[in-house]
Amino acid sequence: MRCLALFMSAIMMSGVTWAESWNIGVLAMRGEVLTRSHWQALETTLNQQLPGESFHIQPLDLHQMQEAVNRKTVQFVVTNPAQFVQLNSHSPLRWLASLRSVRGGKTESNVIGSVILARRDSGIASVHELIGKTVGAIDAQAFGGYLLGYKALIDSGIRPERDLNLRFTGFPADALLYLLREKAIQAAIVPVCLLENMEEEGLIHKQDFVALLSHSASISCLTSTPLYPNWSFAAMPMVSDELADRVTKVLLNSPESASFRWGAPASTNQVETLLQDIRQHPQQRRLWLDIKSWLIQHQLAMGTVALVLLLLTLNYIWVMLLVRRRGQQLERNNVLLRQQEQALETARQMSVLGEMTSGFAHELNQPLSAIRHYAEGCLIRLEAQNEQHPLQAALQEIDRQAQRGADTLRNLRHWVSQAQGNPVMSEEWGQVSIRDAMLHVWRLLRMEQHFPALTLQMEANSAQTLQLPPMLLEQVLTNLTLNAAQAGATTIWLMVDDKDSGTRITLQDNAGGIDEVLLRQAFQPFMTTRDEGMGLGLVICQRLVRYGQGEISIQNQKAADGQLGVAVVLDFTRKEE
Amino acid sequence: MAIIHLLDDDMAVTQACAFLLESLGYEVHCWHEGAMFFSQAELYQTGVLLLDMRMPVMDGQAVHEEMLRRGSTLAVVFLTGHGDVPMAVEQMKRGAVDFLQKPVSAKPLQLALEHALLVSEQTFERQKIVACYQQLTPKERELAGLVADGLINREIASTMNIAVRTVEVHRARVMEKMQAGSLAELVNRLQQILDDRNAKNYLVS
Repeated sequence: MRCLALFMSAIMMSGVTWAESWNIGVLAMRGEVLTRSHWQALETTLNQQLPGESFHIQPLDLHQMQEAVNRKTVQFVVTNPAQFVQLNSHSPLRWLASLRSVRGGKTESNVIGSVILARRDSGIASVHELIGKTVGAIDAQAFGGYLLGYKALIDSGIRPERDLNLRFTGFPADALLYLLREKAIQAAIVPVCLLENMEEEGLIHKQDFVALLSHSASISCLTSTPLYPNWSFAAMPMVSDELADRVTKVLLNSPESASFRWGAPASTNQVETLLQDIRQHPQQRRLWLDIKSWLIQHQLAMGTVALVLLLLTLNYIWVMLLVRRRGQQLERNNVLLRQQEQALETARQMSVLGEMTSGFAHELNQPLSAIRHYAEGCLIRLEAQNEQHPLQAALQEIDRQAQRGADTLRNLRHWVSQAQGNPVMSEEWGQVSIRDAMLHVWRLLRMEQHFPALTLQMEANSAQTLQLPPMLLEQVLTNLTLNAAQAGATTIWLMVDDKDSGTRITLQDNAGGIDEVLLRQAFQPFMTTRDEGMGLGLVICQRLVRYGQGEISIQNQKAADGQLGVAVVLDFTRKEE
Repeated sequence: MAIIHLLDDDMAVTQACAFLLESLGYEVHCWHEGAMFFSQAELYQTGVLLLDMRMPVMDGQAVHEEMLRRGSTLAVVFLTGHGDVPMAVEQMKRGAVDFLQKPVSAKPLQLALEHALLVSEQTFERQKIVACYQQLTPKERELAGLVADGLINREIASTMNIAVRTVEVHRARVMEKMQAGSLAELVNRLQQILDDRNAKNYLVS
């Protein structure tokens, strides 16, 4: 069998005219010496099987391996799949074979995983007790010596960078166990089976240590993590296909008795997924590095962009401030405009009302004139015939009523002209008795007939007078009395408070009062509580009272009988003549 | 006999007013528009025009203007509505005797009319004197002025450089033309028109 292989190789190698030296980089997991002796058999096999080619084992640690690959000082590498993934990202490697077993039938050597160990006598029983403790590991990049353990710790809810005091010691991994034994560290993340191998070699006692996390596995070694395929053999790009084929054949065809048995390359898919999970995948790290270097290279451009962004943000804030300010201004203007519109609307209504009243007054004045003239003419003629004619009183009454109508019209027109801004004319003002005015109104309105349930209580005497235009007080009192009566009052109180400073007339009813909201708008035109009301009664009263140099106010107030009602107060301040 | 002219476009009011004024014993003529009034009414007599301020076509103001232009002897009393008071006051400054606000009652109306009639009477009298005065020749007017000043015949003769006899003749003619029965009456009449500033206007025209 061996002869046949030799023969085959000889045939294949026949075309090669010169011998070359090939370096095989091997990850020196347990130091250079041990690695070299461990892998010596591979070198020997290759040299024997491929005469004319010279292979040399080069034990390398993680960083040396990376450097060697970058510098192309090694043509083949033997390493674990995580290293494979990392190397592969820089220069494409061809995977030739994966280690199946080592002589002696142990499967332990071709799997990789981590075990987290503590000293048995330290009393640490779970990973959570490691928080704040010093934990040793090989290297931040080491797969079995850190990353797998790191993943296991994260899965148990610990964030190693923050919670643990990590200490990386590098290769060889043996050092970690010695440190742990010497209590320099409280726990260690080591590749699986390292402990068992070292005990076999008589270096340490396995019983001194305990695994903090244990994961069931098909092998006899302690493990804290799932196991992944270990050693794989790869060729660098500069190795010719032919040589790679030959090496692969030698590896795959190695006899049962050979030190290492190789098989088809294992998939690195699982490992890549794992590295991505813990964000150690070279693609991710390189992306970040690329961004960083790109940023450094384009410092100026980036600075400019940042500055522009800053300016844009400032500009945006400034614009928003302006928008807000303008918005508020607009809002204010809007309110002002609405007020003006309202004022205009009121003025328009007043002007319509004024025109209406004016025309109305003029048209009524003419027939009133005629009525007076006839009445007075009749009176004069009757007197000429008979001094005591019974119709005289009736004619006098006709005359008086016509005069009253004319007075009302005049007040209305005074009010309108005043509402439209004309000055007050007071040549016809005279002394008006408040009590007489009220009685007059009561009689004119025929209150006893129309509102028999309503009674009038007066606290006033005939001597209390006011200087007012004729009929003005009567008009106001008529409006207020009718309002109270129609609201359902049973009693109306008229109180006069005569003082040096002025006269105050209060007209109180007991009809239950008015809603406060309506009360506030009582003097607004066209506001009414009655369906058939015009909403002008109180407006006219206010105008009239103001024309008479007084002020009118309205409020809800308890009446003398304890019931709630409305009190209208007319305040006439005495003027110095 | 005093006549009251009523000028108002509202016939009902005019009729009513006429009824009242007739009750008070006046003679009343009703008119409903200015043009009719001017074409048919006797403007040169003692009387009163009760004039409505607001009328279509020719309003109170225009009627008053025309009255002044024609030199009517009728006294003008305005009847106004509420808003026309300032206008009426303005018209009073221009010669109207009074104004009354509608609806007017009998008493103030009667008072105003009595006063107006008095004024009209004076105006009418003066107008009559002015008419007489206008018949005088320039010489007679000069002499009349001197007589009114109280000069005796001799003084007038020396002032005017004429004979005393001539003065006597002129004087008799002045007395005749001025319809004066006595010297006192003549002086009184002359003073009425010569002292009155308005009279000068009549004289000039």
